[in-house]
Amino acid sequence: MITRLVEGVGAAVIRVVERFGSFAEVAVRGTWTLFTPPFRPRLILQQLEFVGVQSLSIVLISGFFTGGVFALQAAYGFGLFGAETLTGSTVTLSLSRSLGPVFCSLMVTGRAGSAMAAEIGTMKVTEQIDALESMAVDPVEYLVSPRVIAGAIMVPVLSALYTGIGMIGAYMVSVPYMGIDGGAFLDRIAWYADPEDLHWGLIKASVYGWLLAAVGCWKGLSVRGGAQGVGQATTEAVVVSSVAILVLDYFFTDILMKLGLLT
Amino acid sequence: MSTSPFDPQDAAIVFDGVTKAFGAHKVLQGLDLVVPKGKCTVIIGRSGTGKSVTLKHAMGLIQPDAGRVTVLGKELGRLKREELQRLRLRFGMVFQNAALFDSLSVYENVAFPLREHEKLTEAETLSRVEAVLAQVGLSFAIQKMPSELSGGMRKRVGLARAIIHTPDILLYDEPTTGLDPILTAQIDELIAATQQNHPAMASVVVSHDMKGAFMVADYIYMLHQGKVVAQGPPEHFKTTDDPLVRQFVEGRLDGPIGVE
Repeated sequence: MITRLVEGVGAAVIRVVERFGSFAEVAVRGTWTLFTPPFRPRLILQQLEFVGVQSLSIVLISGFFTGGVFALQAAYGFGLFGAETLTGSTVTLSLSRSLGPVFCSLMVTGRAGSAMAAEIGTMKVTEQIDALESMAVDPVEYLVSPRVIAGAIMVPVLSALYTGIGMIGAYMVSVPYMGIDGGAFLDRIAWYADPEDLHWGLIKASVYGWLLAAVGCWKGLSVRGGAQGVGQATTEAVVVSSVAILVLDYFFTDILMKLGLLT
Repeated sequence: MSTSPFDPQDAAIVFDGVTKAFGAHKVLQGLDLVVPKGKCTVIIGRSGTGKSVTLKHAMGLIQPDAGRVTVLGKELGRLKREELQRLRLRFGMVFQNAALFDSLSVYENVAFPLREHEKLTEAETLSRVEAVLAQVGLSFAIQKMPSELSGGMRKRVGLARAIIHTPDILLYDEPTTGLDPILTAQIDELIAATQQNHPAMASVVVSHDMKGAFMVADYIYMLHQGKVVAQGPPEHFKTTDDPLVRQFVEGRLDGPIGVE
């Protein structure tokens, strides 16, 4: 009984370590090969367009309404003790420090991370990955590198846009709609929010962008079986990336605050 | 069982006691075979006897559990990643379902090995691509996307992509599976013609189609349960009274090969 339990736990640990190892291999080699020839500017541009430009509309729409709903809730809460003018600064701080990078990364995970897993997974089951290897092209270098760099560059850009449009949404809800004084709203933002807040938010977004692309590619490359395997990999890519981003964001924020880099 | 008449010292590919299992499923169980240079070798056997796995071992896409695979005098297990990559440049492979990159056009697919490994001008690349597409009779399809092609055309594009860098060893994984009899004959003829056009090249065809095997083969190996159970030139397979071979060649249900 006890030996079976130990065996079971041991096997589970080995599985987790193996899976993490295979992820680390894809993520590290996918990043490393960016700095070694051959360089692939055309593929990188394609991925920048795919991750960045094509995510623009969902990021702008979701950012506007996130800012809006946040302002609705915050204005109500602050209104209970007559501090409605703090709405703008609260929304701004939350969006630029955490919500912008996190929500934006989650949107890009759903749109681009899942597509990476599905595309690479389909290439795997149709032997296109084997074909690359048979032509002496490293699939990690050819497929993963352009995607991880595109994630790391484009997600912070999108996140900054998300934060910006979120602030506009918050302003639209607070000032014209709820009648909060516009001058005070903006003044409080200038008073409480620092460029530091945005700057750490962008670094976080870059890490999450790298992560969601690496997870999507890793899940795609580890597909087994046919269409079912591709579907499963796509789902897992979204779930693993989303959970990892949320967990990582907590620890990131906590560590930055402990180090005194965020106050 | 006789041993092969080819000298392993001067062979294209040598399998020496190769075993491979995927989980509990043993695919190769002590495979010995020699693929000579300058000839077309056909490996036949039922589905699931390890034919495709054999090809993947030859390119080092899969590593054996035990035994050795030697390609052009180099033992694959001893090569570093870069050396293996360099050795793969001497291969061409035609995949079962062509494995064309569906985001690239026919031209870009066929030009892919050149663009990756040879520094050519765009004009030189174009003329090489046109030449191989003409060999497979697909000059008109150069600007098409793979999704616009039929199964037979995709396989021919796959063949063009595999031979554009004039490999020393050309591997075909079930090149005629899923094609109608006329297209099958067309592909078989193309395989034979390709071998004639490249007399120094070693071709390896994995197939379960006996008619095609008789048409293209210089030498045939028959695989059963992960081992070579019969080998010889095509005439041997036509005349032998080995019950395993007879059952397979004639496609009968009763015989020593169990049908589950």
